[in-house]
This record gives sequence, C-alpha cells and structure tokens, in this order.
Amino acid sequence: MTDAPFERQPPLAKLAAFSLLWLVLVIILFPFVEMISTSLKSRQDLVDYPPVWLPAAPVWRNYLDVWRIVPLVGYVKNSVIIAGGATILNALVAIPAGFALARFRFAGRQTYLHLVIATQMFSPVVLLLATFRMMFSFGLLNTHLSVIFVNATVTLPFTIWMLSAYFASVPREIEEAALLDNTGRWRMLFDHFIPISMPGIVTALTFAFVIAWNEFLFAVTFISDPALRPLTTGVYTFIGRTETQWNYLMAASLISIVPVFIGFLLVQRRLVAGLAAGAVK
Amino acid sequence: MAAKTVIPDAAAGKPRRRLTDGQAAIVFLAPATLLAGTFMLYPILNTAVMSLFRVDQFGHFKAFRGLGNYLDLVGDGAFTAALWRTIVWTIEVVVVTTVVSLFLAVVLNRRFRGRGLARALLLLPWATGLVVVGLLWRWMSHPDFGALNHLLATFGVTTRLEWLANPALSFPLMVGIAIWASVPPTTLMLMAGLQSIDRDYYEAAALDGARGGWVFWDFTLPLLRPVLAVSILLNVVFVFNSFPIIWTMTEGGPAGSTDTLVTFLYKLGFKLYNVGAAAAVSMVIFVILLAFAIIHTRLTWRNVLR
Amino acid sequence: MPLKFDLSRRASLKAMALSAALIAMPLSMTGASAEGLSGKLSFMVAEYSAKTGPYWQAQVDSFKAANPGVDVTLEVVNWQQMHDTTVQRIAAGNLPDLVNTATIWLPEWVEAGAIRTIGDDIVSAKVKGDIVPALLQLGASYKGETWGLPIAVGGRGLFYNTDLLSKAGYSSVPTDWQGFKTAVTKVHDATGAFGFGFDAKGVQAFRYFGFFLWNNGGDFFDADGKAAFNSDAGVKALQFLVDLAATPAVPGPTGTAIEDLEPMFKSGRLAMLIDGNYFATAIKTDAPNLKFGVAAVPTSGPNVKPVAWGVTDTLVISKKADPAITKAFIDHIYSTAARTQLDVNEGLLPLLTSQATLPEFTGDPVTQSFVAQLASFRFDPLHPNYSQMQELVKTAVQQALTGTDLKAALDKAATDFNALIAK
Repeated sequence: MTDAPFERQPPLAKLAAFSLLWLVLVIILFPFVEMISTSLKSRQDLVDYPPVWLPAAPVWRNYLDVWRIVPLVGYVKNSVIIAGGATILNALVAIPAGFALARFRFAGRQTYLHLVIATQMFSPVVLLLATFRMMFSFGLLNTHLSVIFVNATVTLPFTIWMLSAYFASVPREIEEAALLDNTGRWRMLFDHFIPISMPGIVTALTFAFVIAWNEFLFAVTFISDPALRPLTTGVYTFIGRTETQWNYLMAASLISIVPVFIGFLLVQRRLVAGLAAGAVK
Repeated sequence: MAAKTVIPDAAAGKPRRRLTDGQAAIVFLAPATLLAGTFMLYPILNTAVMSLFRVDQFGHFKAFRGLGNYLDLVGDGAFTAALWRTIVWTIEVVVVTTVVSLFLAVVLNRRFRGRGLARALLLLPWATGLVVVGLLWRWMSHPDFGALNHLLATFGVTTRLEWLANPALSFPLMVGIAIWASVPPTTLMLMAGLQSIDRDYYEAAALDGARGGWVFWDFTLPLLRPVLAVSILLNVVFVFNSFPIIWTMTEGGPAGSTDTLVTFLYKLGFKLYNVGAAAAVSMVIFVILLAFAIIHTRLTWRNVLR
Repeated sequence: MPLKFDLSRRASLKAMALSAALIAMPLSMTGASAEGLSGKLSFMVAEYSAKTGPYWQAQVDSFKAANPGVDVTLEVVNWQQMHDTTVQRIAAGNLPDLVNTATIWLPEWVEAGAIRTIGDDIVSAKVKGDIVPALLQLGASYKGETWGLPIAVGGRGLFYNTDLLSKAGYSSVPTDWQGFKTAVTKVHDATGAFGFGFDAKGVQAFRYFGFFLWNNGGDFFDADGKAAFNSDAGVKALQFLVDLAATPAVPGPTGTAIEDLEPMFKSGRLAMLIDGNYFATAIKTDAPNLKFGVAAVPTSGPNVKPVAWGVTDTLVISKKADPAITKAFIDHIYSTAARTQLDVNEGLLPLLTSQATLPEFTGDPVTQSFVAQLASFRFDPLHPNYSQMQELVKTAVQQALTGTDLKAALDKAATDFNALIAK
C-alpha cells in the first residue's frame, strides 16, 4: 500500500486537515439534504411557506410510487446496457491506443495526441445534428447501439489521455526486461502493463462509465422509444410541460444514484487489489 | 493486417520479426482512429464546413458566406463579452477545483477511520447526472422555497436573495456549482495518481526525517505532475464547454449577462436558427482550446514521458 | 358513418375510470377493421406529464387490437425536446406520419415542406364536424390552409388570490392598468405578499409582455410579417411592466420564471399571476384550501377589449402518411371518450363539441369559465420565425428590466428580427 503514514504529521496540522476535509464534505453533501428532504414531501408540503427541512409526516411512499409511475426497472436495465456497453467498447479501443501513445516512439505521436484531445473540444451540442443524421443513415436510431457508439467515442479522448499517462509512469525496467525476452507488444501489454496499471485503468474506465451513465443529450435525441430510455431521460418524465413533480424527480434520482454508488464501492476494492498486484514487481 | 503478423508469430513460436514502433502504432491506434473518425471527425468537419455558410435549423445550406459568420462575431459585443466571461469562468472553476481536489486527494490517501465512507460520499455529486444537478440547484436557489435562502434563514440571515435575477449573484453561484460538480472526479483522478507513486519514496523521505508539508512539496507534488497536468487539461476542456449548469440556472440571462460561449452558441443555433454562425462559434472554441492544449502539453507532457 | 353509439352515455364517469383501451376498442372495431387495413403508421407524441406515455400506449394498443394488419410505432418525446427532435427528424427525412407539435412551430414545418393539409382523404367528416369550429378554423390556419387538428387546447387568464385581494379591500381585479398597479401595491402593503408576478426569464417570457402588448392594441407582427412589437403600444406596455417590476410588490421578473411563481401563488406568497387553465387543477391538488378566481388581464384603458389568449398544440400529418390508415387512427384517438380521458389527465380544455356538456368540464367554475371563452380565444399569430421572435423579445424585455433604454432595446430586437426574415 502506498498510503502515506499519517501518524508522522504534527497533531495540529492533522486536526486542521481533518476539520477541513469534513467541512468540504458537508458542503458537498448539502444539496443531498435538500434532495432527500424534497423526495419525502407531499405535493402540499412542497408549497408550504416557509419551507421545512423535514416534513412533519415524511412521505416514504414516494419511493414506492416512482416505480409504479415510470418503468424504473427498465430504465436501470437500459442504463446498464448503455453505460456498460460504452465502457467495454471504450476499453477495447483505448487501452491499445493509450499503450501505443505512451510507449512507442513514432513520428506524429504528438500530433495524434493533439488530435485526440481536439476531438474532445467540440461541445456535444454542436455535433448533435450531424451525428443524428449519421445514426439515421446507419439505421441506428432508437437502438442502444447508437448511444453506446457515441458515448464510447466522446469518452475516448479522455480515457486515451488518462491511460497513456498511467502507462507512461510504468517503470522502464519492466519494458526492457520484456524486450530482452523478445516478448511481443500485445503480450507485454497484457502480461505486464495492464496488471501494473490496473488502478489507472479502473479509474479511467470508471470515468467512461459514469459519463455514459449520466449522458443525457444524445440519449434524448437518438432514443424516442419509451421502452429503450435510460435513467437520465426516463427520470425527465417528471419534468412535465406545465409542472415538475419535484418529489418524484428527486426520489427517482436518488434511486438512480444507488447502482453507481454500489458500483463505485466495488471498484474501490478492485482499485486496492490492483494496487497490491502492481506493487509486486 | 499488421496485427496478424504479430500474434500468429507468437503462437507459432517462430523467431519473430519485430515491427517497428511506427508500424505497431498503426495497429494499436487503428480501432480508436476508426471509432473517433466515424463519430467525431466527420461531424467536426461537417461543422467546419457549415461555419462558412448560412444554414437553417434543418441543416440546409442557404448561401455561401465565406468568413462572414466569423466577421459578424468579431463585431458582436455579446460574443466578445461571452468569450471573456468563459475564460474567467474556466479559470475560476479549474483553479479552485484543482486546489480543493489536491487537498482532498492527499488527505483521503492517508489511512484513517472513516476513510472509505468519506471517499464514497465524495463521489455522490458525480454519480448524479448534471441535468438533475442543474435542476436541483435551480430549485435550491428559489428565493422563497430554495435551500440556499432557507439555510441563510436558519443562521439568522433573512434577506430574500433573488439568486438568479442578477448576474452579480448568479454567476458566482454557478461557479460554485461547477466546482462542486468538478471536485469529485478530479479528486478521484488525483487519488489514483497518488496511489501509483511508489511507497519507497515516502519511506526514503521518512528515513530522512521529513515532515508532512515537506514531503508534499518536494515529493508528492512533482511525482503527481503528470496526472495533475492531464486533470487540468481535461477540466479546462470540460468546464469551457460546460452547458447544463448555466442553461438550467439562467439560460445565460438576464439579457446574456451570464452567457458563456456554449450557451451563446446554443441560442444562436437552436433559438435563432443561425446554425452557420453557431458552427463558427464552435470553431472558435475549438481553436482556443486546441491552442491551450498545445501550449499546455508543450509545457507538461515532456515530463509525463520520461 | 358506422359509429352511432350514444357516446356521452358510454363515457360516463365509471367508464372514464377504465383504461382507454377498453373504452376505445369497440369504437374502432366497428370503424376501421371492416376495411381490412394493412400497413404502417408512426406516431410521435409530446410527453406533457408522466401520464402521457401510458395513455398513448393504451390508445395505440387498442387500435392495433382492432386493426391487426397495421403496425403502429409510438414515440414519446419530452416536451422540452419536442421542437428540436422534430427539426432533426425533418432534417434526416424521417418525420413520423403523425406528430404532436406546438401550433406556433407549425409554419416551420410547412415551410420545410414536411407536412400536408387536412384534406377529406385523411380526416373524416365526423372528426372535423365534432371539433369546436373556432379551433379547427383558426388554430392551425396558415397561408389560407389548415395544417392539422388541434390536439391540446389551453387558455390563459389572470389568477388571483381572493383572500389577499380582499385584505387590501378588493373584491375583484381592476380592469385597467392604473387601477391594477394600485391594487398590486396595495396588496403588498396590506399583506406583505407580492401583488403580481410575471416571468421575464423562461421560454414563455414573450407571452407576459405579449398580454400587455395585445391589451394595449399592439401586436407582434405587422401585415407583412415584420416586427411590430416595438410600436408605441409595445413601448408603453413594456414601460408599464418595467414600472411594476420596480415596485417592491413584484418579485424580480428576471430571476423567477413561471415555474417559480406558481408555488408562490399556491402558498399565498403571491396574489396575482397570469397562467394557464391547467394551473387551476394543480392548485386544487397542491393547495386545496386556497381561494382563487380567474379574471381577464387588465387593459390599458376602457376602449381596449381584453384578450383571452388561447394556446393550442396541433396534430400535424407528414406528407408520407398513408391516408386510409391515418384516417382510421385519427377517428380512433378523436373519440369523445379518448379525448376526455386525455383532457382530464393533462388538464386540457375540451376541444370536441360532444364534450361540452360532460361533467368533467362543467363541474368546476374556473374550467367552465375557460370553456366558455373557447370560441373567442385569440391565438398566437403563425409566423415561420416565431421562435426567433420569442428569443429576441425575451432578451429585449430582460434588457429593459436591467437598465437598458427600453425603446432602444425593443428597436434593436425589431431590427434584428427584420434582418433575420429578410434573408
């Protein structure tokens, strides 16, 4: 483990650091207080003035009602397919690319890296019309595949950059030892670089997953079949034309955070495991 | 094609004929190039072409304008104001995000009771989609029912602040929200970077009798530089292009006073149907960010590749 | 035509509680299936609320059950995305056969050559005959033709809190601007609540200015379709709003959109606001004890007749739609029972003459007062550049409210608009 030993810090500095940490956490979590509070209110509670943090009679039913009002199970399933598919596609494509950019010496490497980051510089808003037409001509409208492709692509620059940074930090000796054994590049990647860089890979792919999980604009544009909606656009159902059902919106949003949250807790363990593997050189 | 020459060789155990780095790079980069080429490069080229024409909302090319769309922007005070505002917005958000995230990453990398919980809780804002985040903050800034004024009232401040009526209040608020949303992923990225720093360095530092602050400035920070550099670059790109927060909170209003280039572009393209001009704005964004990326990598990437 | 059930009796309250599928099935079975239709139909609806998707799914299911040869695809698009989705579908050349659109966008689809008029081949005489004539004739009329059927109708009026007004000594809302302004301040002084709120923030901002523009004899466009909102009437209307906003009796219009004002009204924090008839339904659920009424929006003087603003959505038909199938489907979804369920679900006004006497619409005085105005509604003018006008007017109103010279702001918007349409 590389966790720095805290014990050697002067106690005052330690106290200050911890106080600051929990202060930042409180600020970060404050909006969730409002989210939970809103999700437990009835429609009448919502327009009570002055507002209260916790309604006198919390409406726990809201958490049951949302499953009935919208097909939340289907939304979760669709989100898992989309975000999972995009992450896998992203990994298959970005790992070799990141490896090549970090470890191969070739002309145009800098240029390629710049091009990669350049594609990230277009706001998705701008690309919408052209990608929509493309999806239409590929016959991919109203399919999960359309959103998987686009999500994998928009997160690609990001993962390629992160992965090449992590691959670049792998000690040179490992590469040299492998070269002496005349190991092929793919073997070198799979046997040495991927295990060592596991924390970095998991981090980068977590990003790809979360970005795809939270993506809204492409999903709402490409998918108008209600049965194929992911959570982001599905939850949007509570934002009606003339009124927003805040209590349901917040309850459904909180529910939709749970899978990502659990996933993150699992990944965190994997992160540590990958680290332990990498430490054995 | 080239991939086949590597893998079957390995299977057959023949003396291998190594590809040069350049040849191998083509193989390793092919899938990424294909995917990005199809779904990114083509739309981007399409945008570049559109910026030279007058284009309606259906994407029909109406007339060739040459650089007309760009010249119109230069003369548009709202555009230049939005440009400067975007730069201020990006600098404020990225600087504060980086400092706060660095602090959190360093502290959360230490072993202490409740670390797992703290790490998990930190990730919550990130697990919430930006659209919901925008709406949540919008509701929180309601002068009568929102949590912001409610919180102030709990502390005895009963002024009825109209958070979104006036850019003097709404812009700093939105900067804060953007920081709030950017800190969790940045911290995660930096934490992963910290974990790949060899423990031996710390041991050595400890043997030297180094104290906490000294370890940070002389060991942690320099070793973290590659990851820090990438995180800053990516944050600049994300924040510069950030859309949902400003759009849900103020739509860039009142009267464009909180517009960034992306909301300005969105109004041009999707409200005023001047798609050619919107494409020109996105080309300007592209050039600015590309210039930044090149300068940034010149300064930092050399240290990433040892 | 084969359908001659006693519809109003069938559509008793008990039947209303059943699903649309059960109600509508016998209707279409007698109607369309006899012709043995086969083919495809695509239908894109706007999601008004969480109830919309399931409602249309049930309609489509019952239609399919009665017409096994027809393959209907239903797409449900969130209201906020509806305009842009429609644009993209037209751009890609695959607009669905039937699309539920805001009427103000209709000229865009006409100019793009994407939709057709409602000829007798595609809409049955029965449906045309049942729709309230004023809605059918004026709602979707553009360039002398009718380009669709009304699919959702709402009216706007001035909602007022009876208790707050009476505390300030008013039993009704003054009908002229001067009296209105006095009432707004008096309510604030007497109760501490805001007297009046209007939205200069959201997408509807142009409507709040528009009411005062119309009620001062002005209009958005002149006869040639050029900007006219910067006329004398427009300047005076905006000046009135800016003056109102300067008083402490009005919450900051640039910071509070209509969705922010609504909860304030429900909680008794706001005495008056302009809103749609659906707001009455929402008040009854969220604030059942609130006493309120609906009045006409005040005019600049006694010589101007107050406007009752009607806002409709239209069902438009793609040029590629199969006439026979479309006709059968329209018959299906425009049955009295089907319409009534949709109207009740979404808080819409009845658009069929056969609905007029149903208890759903006669039971409540506020809804009834809106229904009574149906025939005299004034609708949004149809103009291919309406969306641009909305955006430019909103910006001008915001500029005026944040200190820019009001006349200059409106003139600038008008110049920009005219330059835009000249292209």
